[in-house]
Amino acid sequence: MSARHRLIAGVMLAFAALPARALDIQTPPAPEGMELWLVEDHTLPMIAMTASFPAGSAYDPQGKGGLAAFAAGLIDEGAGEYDATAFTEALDERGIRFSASPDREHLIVSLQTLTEEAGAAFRLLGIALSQPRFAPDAVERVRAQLLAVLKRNEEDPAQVASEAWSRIYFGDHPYGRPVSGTKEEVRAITQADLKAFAARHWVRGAAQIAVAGDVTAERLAKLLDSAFGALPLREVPALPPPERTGAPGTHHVTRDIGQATAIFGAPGILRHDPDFIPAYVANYVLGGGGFSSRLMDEVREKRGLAYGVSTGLVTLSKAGIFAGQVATEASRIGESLDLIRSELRRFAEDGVTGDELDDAKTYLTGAFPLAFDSNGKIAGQLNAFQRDGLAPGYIDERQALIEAVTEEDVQRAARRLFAPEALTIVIAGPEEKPSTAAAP
Amino acid sequence: MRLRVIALAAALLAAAPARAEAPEVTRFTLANGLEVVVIPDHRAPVVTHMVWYRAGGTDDPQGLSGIAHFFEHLMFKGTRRVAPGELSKIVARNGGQDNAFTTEDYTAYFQRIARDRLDLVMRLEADRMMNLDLSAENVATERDVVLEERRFRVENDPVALFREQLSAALHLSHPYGRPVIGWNEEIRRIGRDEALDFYRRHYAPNNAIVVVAGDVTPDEVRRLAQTHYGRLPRRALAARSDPAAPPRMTETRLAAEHPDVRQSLLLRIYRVPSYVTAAPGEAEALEVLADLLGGGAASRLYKGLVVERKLASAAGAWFAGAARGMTEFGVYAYPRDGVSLAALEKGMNAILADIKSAPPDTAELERTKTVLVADAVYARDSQATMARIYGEALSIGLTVEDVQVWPERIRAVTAEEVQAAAKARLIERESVTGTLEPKAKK
Repeated sequence: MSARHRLIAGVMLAFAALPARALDIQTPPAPEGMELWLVEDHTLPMIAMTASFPAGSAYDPQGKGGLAAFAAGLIDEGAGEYDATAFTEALDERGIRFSASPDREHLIVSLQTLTEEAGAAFRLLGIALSQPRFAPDAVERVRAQLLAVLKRNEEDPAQVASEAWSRIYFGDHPYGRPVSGTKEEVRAITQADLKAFAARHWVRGAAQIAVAGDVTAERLAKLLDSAFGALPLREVPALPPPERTGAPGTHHVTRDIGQATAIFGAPGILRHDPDFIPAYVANYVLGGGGFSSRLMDEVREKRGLAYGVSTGLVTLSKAGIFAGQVATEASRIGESLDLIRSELRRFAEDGVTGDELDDAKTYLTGAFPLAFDSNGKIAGQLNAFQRDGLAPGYIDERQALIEAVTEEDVQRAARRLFAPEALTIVIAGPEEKPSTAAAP
Repeated sequence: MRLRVIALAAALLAAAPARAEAPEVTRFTLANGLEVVVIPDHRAPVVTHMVWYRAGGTDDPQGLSGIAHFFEHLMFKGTRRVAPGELSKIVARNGGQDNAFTTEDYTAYFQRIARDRLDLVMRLEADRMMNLDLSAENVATERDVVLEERRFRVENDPVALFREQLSAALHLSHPYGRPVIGWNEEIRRIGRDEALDFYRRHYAPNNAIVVVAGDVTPDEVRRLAQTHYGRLPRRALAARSDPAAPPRMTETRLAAEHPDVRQSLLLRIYRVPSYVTAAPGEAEALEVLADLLGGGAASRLYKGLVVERKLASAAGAWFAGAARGMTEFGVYAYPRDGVSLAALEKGMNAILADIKSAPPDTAELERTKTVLVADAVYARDSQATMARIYGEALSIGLTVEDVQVWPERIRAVTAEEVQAAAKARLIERESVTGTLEPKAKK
């Protein structure tokens, strides 16, 4: 496993006089079972693609945690006529960048190529996905890498807290398991397991592709056919909804470190919920907006209690989560959490001011084009929208949706999501002394 | 933070004048000494505006390590016109994003925003270049933030702590041996007076470079720069520090154990010339050597240690070439379960001996160069990356031309030069070798 390191609809600012520059998203025909969005730009001689497949860690069978990640790690370790080294050399000698990594629900594949090497790039991508070798020595190599990653994760208090949080929040549901599995499970995965997973999940059927750069729809059709034509057309079953969503209260994972990390979260909102945009705006004001957020103001700017404090909305296909993170010197983590709880309460009770709402809208609409200023970012951002189940027209609708949010909308969303008593909190830090126990 | 920045910039230090037109980069200097670089990219109505100061961790006074980085935080804490914390909020209110970073050699502040707000962000940067207004209370609160940052980035991560130790051992008395974020006790000594002293000595138009990339023309930038920055007076500055890189007499070896370590690590850093201090072609040879040795899955360390001999689960190399002084060339490997660090080091040394004793073959060399040059084309896809590449180069004393001809210079590296660089520079005396292991249970 090796990874090479790494239309803006309308004018967002009501008072600007810039000509609107639309991001022209085409939806040309794609191989059956795949959704394709294309933004052509012939300025630079390169093409960027981000594609996603329903092959994330939530599909790991029971007892085989880490399988999706293991398979992803083998994607450039030999396929078709190429052994691992030959495959990497084939990429390197053409300057092709190719990487794949899983999250909970998807395998996300990223490809960047110079225009003149596009034929080879897409052909190699296709071979990697449809004819992976999973050769025994490669399997052992990637197993060793995953085990090393798992050990490094154990050294990281934020990672430890985050994994504990998911397990406590979701219980036995696939969403509760670590994306990279556990050491015991990774040690037990076999070549047969890997082949079965790839055959079931690296398929056409719910795959989504976003491409940006120096390619026409006509040429792209041929490239995609060479990449994905050989993949089986197969449905991937939907994930079950989680039965458990939370274990309100504070849970501890003991780590003898100077700075404690706390992860906190509660039931959130699904992407297609009519109140998603108001919730998104509310979260921006609370803790998503960096130095413009209330939490940064209270926790970092005024009191110096943390270097970083933030919140966000996580939208999985079957669950939405409102979650956040803060790291503070161990003896004062309780103070940070008390502040966060009281800010949640205040927000739910009093909502936002008119100025806060205006500023949030200006940022959220104004900064939108910043996500589209390179082919790589366009491909990545569009694929993210595809995974959210949005249509290409969303790019044009988004501004109006945000502008339409009212103070009442924001407060309704806040009352729904920002409930301190509902929080599941995990703190990774030194053992708690009784006298400094945080209030529930 | 420093290592990440240096590694990124070192790997991407160029714009490839490849097939399509290379960006037309314009450079000019205002009467007060401020340098300005313009890199057009009209694909999106967005600009990246950066201000680079030629001041970094190496300029921290002895005993006050961390002040350059701490001061970077303080630049957000108010001027006579803009209240503490307001600058970032103003940028956000205008649909922009902002941040800053500090390395050993420079400090940079940037905003990414709609093109028609370039005027605003220049006004904000020009204001804080000269009009900072700090209260002792804000300095004290921000010191707590920096201490939390140090806990977050370093003290909670045994590998980060270990890296600090290696750098300290390698550079002897040279300030590259001090962490940019500073040592804990020294950060605590920094107050308002020390901060303002640093400001007066280093922050001036004649010590700064403004880089603007994105949907702009040179004329437009010239006009705006003259309006906002042109009126600022030069300052008399202390000469830039030029500390010695004292001769090393022998290799250093560090064997560390830490209770939080779960995954052992072998890490070696060599002290080597940078793009600034190297003889012509040598830094480019080191760049190619680093990738050939450990740039990816077809590299020698990976093939030798991970694939063929199964001694390591991962292995790599890097060259932090974008530095003003003698810099670091690193090699690392993580042992597989059951493999001793001694066996791993023996395997690593054998691979290093190979490249010193024979030049690479043509296919291997060309492949390595292709990846490096392709990286330069991909860098052109991002105005933010382009701005960082040019800003970094000029901050350490390189030129626009150095950046633009980098792909050609990489292509010109010969197999013999790669071997020669390995023989001359990857030498034991100029190295620190460290092993990091879990604490043995008693």
